[in-house]
Amino acid sequence: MGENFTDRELVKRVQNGDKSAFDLLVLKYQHKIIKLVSRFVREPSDALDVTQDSFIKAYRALPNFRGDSAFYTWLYRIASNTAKNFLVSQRRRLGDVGIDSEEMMSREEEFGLNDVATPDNILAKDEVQHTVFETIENLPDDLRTALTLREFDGLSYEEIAEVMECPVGTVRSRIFRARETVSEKLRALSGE
Amino acid sequence: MEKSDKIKCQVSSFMDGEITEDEVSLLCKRIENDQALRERWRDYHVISDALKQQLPVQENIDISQRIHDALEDEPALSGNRKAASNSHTVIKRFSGLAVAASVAILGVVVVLNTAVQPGGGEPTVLAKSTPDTVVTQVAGLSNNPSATQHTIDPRLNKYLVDHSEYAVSASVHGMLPYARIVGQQSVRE
Repeated sequence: MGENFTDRELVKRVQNGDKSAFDLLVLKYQHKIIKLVSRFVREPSDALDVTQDSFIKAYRALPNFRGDSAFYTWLYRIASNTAKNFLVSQRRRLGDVGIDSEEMMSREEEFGLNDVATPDNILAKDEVQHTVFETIENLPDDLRTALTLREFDGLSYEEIAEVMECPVGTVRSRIFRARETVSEKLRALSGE
Repeated sequence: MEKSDKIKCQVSSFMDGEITEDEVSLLCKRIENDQALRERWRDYHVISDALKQQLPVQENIDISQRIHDALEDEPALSGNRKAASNSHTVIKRFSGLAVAASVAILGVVVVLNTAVQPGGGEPTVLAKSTPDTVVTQVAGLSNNPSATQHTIDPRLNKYLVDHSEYAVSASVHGMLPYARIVGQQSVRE
C-alpha cells in the first residue's frame, strides 16, 4: 500500500489502455515536473512546453516501464533528460549536464527556490502556502493530527489509527475532512 | 456522510494508497467523468506539495488539459504493448536463426580452410562435409582421447606446435585447433 501503490495502479491502468489514468498521473506530478524543468529552462513558456514533452515521452515509454524503480523517479529522469536535450538544441551552455538524476534530486532539496522566481509568482505561491498552513493550524486537533501524521510522517492509516486510538475508518474520514477544508480555502483564494 | 462526500473521501484515500484494487477501477472511471473529482485530486496534491514545500513558483498553472489534448491522437497503450511484444518475438526468432546460420557458415569456412592440402591441393572430400559431420567427428574425438593420441603422428604434432603461436591471432579461439586436427586427420585417412 502507500503512495507507490497508487502510482502502480495508475500505471497498470494506463498500460492496459486506460488513457484517463494518465491524466491523474499528470495532475499528481505536473507541479513537481514544472519545478524540476524550470531549473534548467528559465523561460516559463519553454518550461511548460518541455514539461508537456516530458509527459508525452513518458506516456509513449510506459509500455517499457516495468516498475523496477518508482514511477516518479522514472518520470524525473525523463523530464531532466528532456530539459537537457532542449538546452542542447537551443545551443545554450548548461553546467549541470554531467550530473545524474539522483544528484539533481538532492540538489533540488538543497537549493530550494531556484526556479522561475518573479515577484508575482513568488507572492502567489507564498499565498497558497500560507493559506494551506494557516488553515491546517486552525483545524480541530483530531483532523490536524491525522493529516500531519500522514503528510509529514508518512504513516499508513492503520498506524495513524494506532497512534490516535481510533478505527481506520475514522482516520480515513478525518484526513479527508482536513483536506476538504483546506481545498475549500484554496478554491476561495483562486476565486473558483 | 453524503454519497458525493464518500466518493471524495475515496479520492483522498486513493491518493494515500489506502483503497483496494477493486475500488481503484470504479473510482478511476468516476474521476474520468466528474470534473469536481478531478479538481479534488489535483487540490489534494497541491496541499500535499505545499506542506512539503514542493510547490513550484508557478503553482497555479494546470497543464493537464493541454497534455490531455496532445495525447488525444495517441493510441491507447494496450495495443502497443501487444505489438511491441510481437515484434520482440519476431526479433528473437530472427536472431536465433541468424546465430544458427552464422555457426553453419563458420563451420563450412573452417572446413574449407583446413581441407586445403599443404602442397596446395584442392579441398575434395571435406569440402562437401556439412557442419554436422564435423561436429560429429569432433565429438567422436573428444569422447575417445586415447584414439586421438594414437592417430596423431609426430609430423602432425610438429605442425600444431609450429602453428600454435599464430593461434592467438585467430579470430575463432579454441575451435580452430580442433578443426585443424579433424581436417588433417580426415585427409590422412
